[in-house]
Amino acid sequence: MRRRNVITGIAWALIYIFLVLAPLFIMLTGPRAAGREFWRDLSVSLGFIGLAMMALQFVLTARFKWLKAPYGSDIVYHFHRQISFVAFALIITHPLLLFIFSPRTLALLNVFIAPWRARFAVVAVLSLIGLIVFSVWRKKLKIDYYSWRIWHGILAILAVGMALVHVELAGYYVNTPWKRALWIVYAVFWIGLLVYTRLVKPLLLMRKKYRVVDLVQERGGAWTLVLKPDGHAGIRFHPGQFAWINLRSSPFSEKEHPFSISSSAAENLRLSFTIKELGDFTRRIKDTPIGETVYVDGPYGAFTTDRHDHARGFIFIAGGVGITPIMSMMRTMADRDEKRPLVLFYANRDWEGITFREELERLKKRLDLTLIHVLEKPPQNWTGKQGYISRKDIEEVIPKGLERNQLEIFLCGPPPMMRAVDRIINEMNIWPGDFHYERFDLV
Amino acid sequence: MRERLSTIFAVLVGVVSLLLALVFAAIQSGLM
Repeated sequence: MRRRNVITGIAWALIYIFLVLAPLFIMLTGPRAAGREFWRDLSVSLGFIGLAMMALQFVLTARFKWLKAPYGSDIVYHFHRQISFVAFALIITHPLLLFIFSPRTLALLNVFIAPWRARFAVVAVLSLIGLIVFSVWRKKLKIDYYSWRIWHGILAILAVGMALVHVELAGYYVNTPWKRALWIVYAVFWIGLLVYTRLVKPLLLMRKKYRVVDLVQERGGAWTLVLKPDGHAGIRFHPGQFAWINLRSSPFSEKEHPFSISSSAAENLRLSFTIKELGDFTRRIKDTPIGETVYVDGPYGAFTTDRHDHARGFIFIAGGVGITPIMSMMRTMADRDEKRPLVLFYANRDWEGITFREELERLKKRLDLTLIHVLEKPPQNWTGKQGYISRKDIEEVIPKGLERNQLEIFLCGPPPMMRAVDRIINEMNIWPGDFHYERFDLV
Repeated sequence: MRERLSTIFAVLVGVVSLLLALVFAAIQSGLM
């Protein structure tokens, strides 16, 4: 399983590089256009590569499970973010080179007198600048998540759509059937992706509704939303995976949120999400009426024990509501009569706010589970660990001279804790392939 | 670690793109 994921991961990376560079290879075919300066061809080639990268951004965010499986969804989104800066740098260099080496081209910025090819280019670049600014400084600009998602989609479509029209109107490198075919294929592929993500997928989701059948208050300000498939067999998932859920609105809207599934994967006719009251959407979970329709897009994610059958044991490190995917793993393991040893470090603020506290105690009877609570503000007479999870705590449960692929470590919690534990695991020289986490704080 | 690999890959794609763009421009303009 692990080897297959590595091979698939490398294959997708190579295909990505090929697709990004494909425009250049195609441009080299056919008769060579003569008499152009080096810097002008360099400018155009950077623009082509940047445009191919931007078009491929739609593939990265289209939630294709086969694409995300080798890496995990968070890494694909992380790459989407990083490569957008690269694409932006390449695209912005395209006009800058023209302006530097041929200052008269600056007149093309005057959209009132400029030819249409330049007008489309200006709109594309402005859209791209808007995309970057809104995404990097969303919180500073106080743009709410829903508005950001809507504008992100609009600006991305404008940036790529206008750039494709610009290429067609500029016409210089679309002068042979092969070159023209390349850009038609890119455009059709891109439009097809848009139709799939914005139309086909929501329509498919509408046919697979879920109903809220229970709402359970948990410790720590969390609520468990229990769903049942309405007229279909439900989804099959691996414990630890997440899904996008859409409550009180249609699947065509942008009002969906990713949450980890907290129920056992052994049971696919009841799906649970345990959600802590943290923001506008999550604070209203407790008001969800029984019988409410919910759309579930998933499962997604590579954060699952099911990918590590070879492991001799598992170490889970959870903070607060980060317990939810790990709870799904442990519930599933209990249902599957798992015998391998498990250790759970569970960090919380105080004893009363420990989500699933009682159920974890019960799970100790069904699993070979060592449960280690770490409390920031422990009650009086507390003899357990207090403060934050430390390197010493983790070293106590990891045998010295640990070899690869023996113990798999899963981490889920608030971002500061994730960063701190990530640092500890790196310092301990644990093989990175044995350490797993997924982040959701991407925008 | 995974984020680092992803960032390294993004930088690598950028560098390879730049190099290939230079080669492409050199070929197109007759320098190569």
